[in-house]
Amino acid sequence: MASTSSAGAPAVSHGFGPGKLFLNWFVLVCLTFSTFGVSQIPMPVNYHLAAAICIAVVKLSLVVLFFMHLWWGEGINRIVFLTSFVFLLVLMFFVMADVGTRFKLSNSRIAPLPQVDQRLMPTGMPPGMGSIPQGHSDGPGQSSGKAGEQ
Amino acid sequence: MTAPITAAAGTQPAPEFPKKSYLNDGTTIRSWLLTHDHKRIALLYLVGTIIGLFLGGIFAMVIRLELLTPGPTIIEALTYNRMFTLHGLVMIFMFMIPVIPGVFGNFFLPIMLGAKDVAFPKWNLTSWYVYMAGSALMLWGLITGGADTGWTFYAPYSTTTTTNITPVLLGVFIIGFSSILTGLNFIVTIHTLRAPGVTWFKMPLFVWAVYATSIIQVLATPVLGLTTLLVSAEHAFGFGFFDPARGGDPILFQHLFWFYSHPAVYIMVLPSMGVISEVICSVARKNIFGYKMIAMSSLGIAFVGFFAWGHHLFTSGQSPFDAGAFAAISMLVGVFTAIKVFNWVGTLYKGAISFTAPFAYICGFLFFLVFGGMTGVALATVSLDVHWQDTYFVVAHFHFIMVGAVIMGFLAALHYWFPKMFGRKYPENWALLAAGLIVLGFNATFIPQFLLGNAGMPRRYYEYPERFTSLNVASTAGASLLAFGFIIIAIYLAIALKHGEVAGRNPWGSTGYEWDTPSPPPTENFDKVLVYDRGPHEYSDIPEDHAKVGHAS
Amino acid sequence: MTPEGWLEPPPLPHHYETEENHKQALRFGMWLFLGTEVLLFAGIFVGYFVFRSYFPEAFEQAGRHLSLFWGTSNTLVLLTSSFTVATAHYFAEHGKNRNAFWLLMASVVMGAMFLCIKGIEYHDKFEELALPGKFFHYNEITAPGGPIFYVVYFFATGLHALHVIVGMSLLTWVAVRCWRKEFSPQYYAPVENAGLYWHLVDLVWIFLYPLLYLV
Repeated sequence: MASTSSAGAPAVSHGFGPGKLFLNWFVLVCLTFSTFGVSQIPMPVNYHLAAAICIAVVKLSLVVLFFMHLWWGEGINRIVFLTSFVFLLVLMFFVMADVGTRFKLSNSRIAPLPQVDQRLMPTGMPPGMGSIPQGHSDGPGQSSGKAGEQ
Repeated sequence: MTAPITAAAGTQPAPEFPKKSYLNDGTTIRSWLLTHDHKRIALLYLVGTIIGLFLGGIFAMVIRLELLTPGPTIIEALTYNRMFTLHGLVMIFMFMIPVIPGVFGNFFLPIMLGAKDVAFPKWNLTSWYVYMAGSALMLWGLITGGADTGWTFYAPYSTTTTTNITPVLLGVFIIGFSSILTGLNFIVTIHTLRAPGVTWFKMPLFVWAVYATSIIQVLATPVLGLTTLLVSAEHAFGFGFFDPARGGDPILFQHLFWFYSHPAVYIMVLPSMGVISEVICSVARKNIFGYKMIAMSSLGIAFVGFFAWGHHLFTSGQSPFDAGAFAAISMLVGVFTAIKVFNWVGTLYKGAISFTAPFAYICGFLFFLVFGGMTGVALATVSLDVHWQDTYFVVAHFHFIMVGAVIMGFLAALHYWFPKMFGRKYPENWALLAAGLIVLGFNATFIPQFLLGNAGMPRRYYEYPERFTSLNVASTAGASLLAFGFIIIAIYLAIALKHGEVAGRNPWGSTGYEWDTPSPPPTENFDKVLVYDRGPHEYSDIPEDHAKVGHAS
Repeated sequence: MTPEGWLEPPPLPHHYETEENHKQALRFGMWLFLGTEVLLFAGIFVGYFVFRSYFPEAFEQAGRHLSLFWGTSNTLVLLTSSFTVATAHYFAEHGKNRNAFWLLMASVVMGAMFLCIKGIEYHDKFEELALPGKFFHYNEITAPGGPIFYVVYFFATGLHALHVIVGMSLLTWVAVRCWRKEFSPQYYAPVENAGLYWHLVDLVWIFLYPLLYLV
């Protein structure tokens, strides 16, 4: 039942007060600067991508849990939000699996090979099924350069 | 609940038509157009979807007449292309997606849960206006702009066609909003407005099916919305997102499109399955067999349906890895569907079946679903699909599911719930005649198409070789039979609306919760406080030994 | 006006049993809607990764030509507006409508700032002709796929900006209602739901920022 007591009844008013919300904001700002900082460190682009996504996920969790009160709210809302992300990942997974294992499109404008990192692809694929003729070298840039020359 | 469970309708003296019901609570046009009552909104949806069915049916007849002879018959090639585009879009977005959730879901879901209305009545009305606006925009765009892409909008043709396709795409986008609003409303209603006593596993199976449908609507429709936006932006500005000549990827379009449009098949067929689950135990006068299995297989279909879209891309250049994965997962849909079919047949077994029109449609439904489903499993096999892709075999397959199963469910629901919605009975003999015509007509229309497809006739072609003539004539003849059946239904239902025999509270002697209210129900849905001391599909007076008999309760 | 200084909450809709039930329904409905928003943006993100895998060099080059300064500023502006909205929710829930009003107005102003900065960035892109599809005439990006990057860029940020505009309208609407002192511990759902929408706008940007500007 709706409790009619006003502010100060901790059982009703869940969620952080302004102080803790400010702290949450401060952590988020720090994370923004850290993702910016990480992006300036020289390292392979896939590491950059992974680091950026990890930090973004942490930021997302902070916003969702504390700003959006998912930490306290009804469990069903957590399920809804998680489900939407699961289905986002389903879409992402199958499309990227397709792009990563597809034969090269016969189009000169796409001469650089599909550049999905094979390590991100599902394992256990039959050998040769998804591999693109020249696509075995590590550095994405290098292989595409070669393909362009051919 | 005090009414005896096995009471036959005939034992009561002639029932009276209730003086006050939702139908006469306000008689002005305004009271209908601004209503928040879920039952009136359901009737508004009925009007909209029947317009859709009528238009889509006319376009279908034009297509069939054109295909009567191998060469040009009544229309030009471009008009033919526009006709099948119109037919597909109108039937899918104006009729099949909204029909059962919009009409019967809106009407019965709150009543079955013991709720006075859906969770957000204003949004419910909004969804109808959004649906009508989107449909109007889509139709206007189709008729004036003459889109000829087919309902699938495949890029890069759709992004380069000279016809004006943007209003059509925006219309589809807007209808998507309506679909989302309906689904969202139902999910929240089911979670928050169940009456005390209606636990999750005492919900009628129709509610379970609509619940699974709503989950798909909410999760999948946004992706279609984005896709239509992308296509219209590309068509207008030449972005090249899906255009290989500009570095885009047309297969990406197909992924995004079918991520919605494959689950959309289950948006259409799941509610129909829910209807069958409701009606089948009423006509068999038996407890539903395997309640939990049917309920869970609805969710299973909804879930697996999201992992199957790639079987539309087998010959599009999708990678073999994806093709294999999607083929395997697609077949799982068959498993869940089979669970339902076995349980329905198990319900009929040793039942005291009354051969009414709803039962005739159930028979049609089971035949079409099994036949369409089996050909679906065959089509999900990559090596076979390569031969059947884009032939009439595929057309016949999905019409068996879409037209066969979905319309059978729709007609079963219409006849089963007609007395509840309007308080009057339909004429049973005419209904059986029409049902016979329709089931025969469907078979005569689409079985020849299976044969045509297998012989290699491609879909969407304006002309065909001489040797396909006889089968095409058979198909057109069947379509005429079908149309004739629908005309009979329209006439007798229109007459029954005014002059039908007064139905009374429970003419079927059904134990569904919705039959505990007066027919037609009052605005607040109930004239007394209902007690949910039985399951929704319980016909046995004596509590059975579950282990021995095997009936779920 | 109740003694505590806020208006009586609106009556409970006839089909709900309890206030709590109604609150839960509103919140749950909003979360479902946010789920649909996540899937609306899903297509864009999928497009981003697909084309990034086709044209990694173009995406890196083009990313370097976006303004890091403006991008980072915009991230901070949106994060801060999220904080003010969350705090406004807290005050509305405790019946302090005036505090909530000012915080919401501050959020709207920050939303406007975000759009202005976005406008500056768009302006630069239009000057450079770094535009999507056939409008692309930008010589700094040599690798193939530049036009596609800008399709992704403009579509993603444009759709996001549209959501910012909708969010600002929602926040303005609840701010006006705060000014009228409509909210109280019994009734604050509009602030909560408008806030949830605004946080989602922020969430989308949390992903767009590193993907477009940083990697």
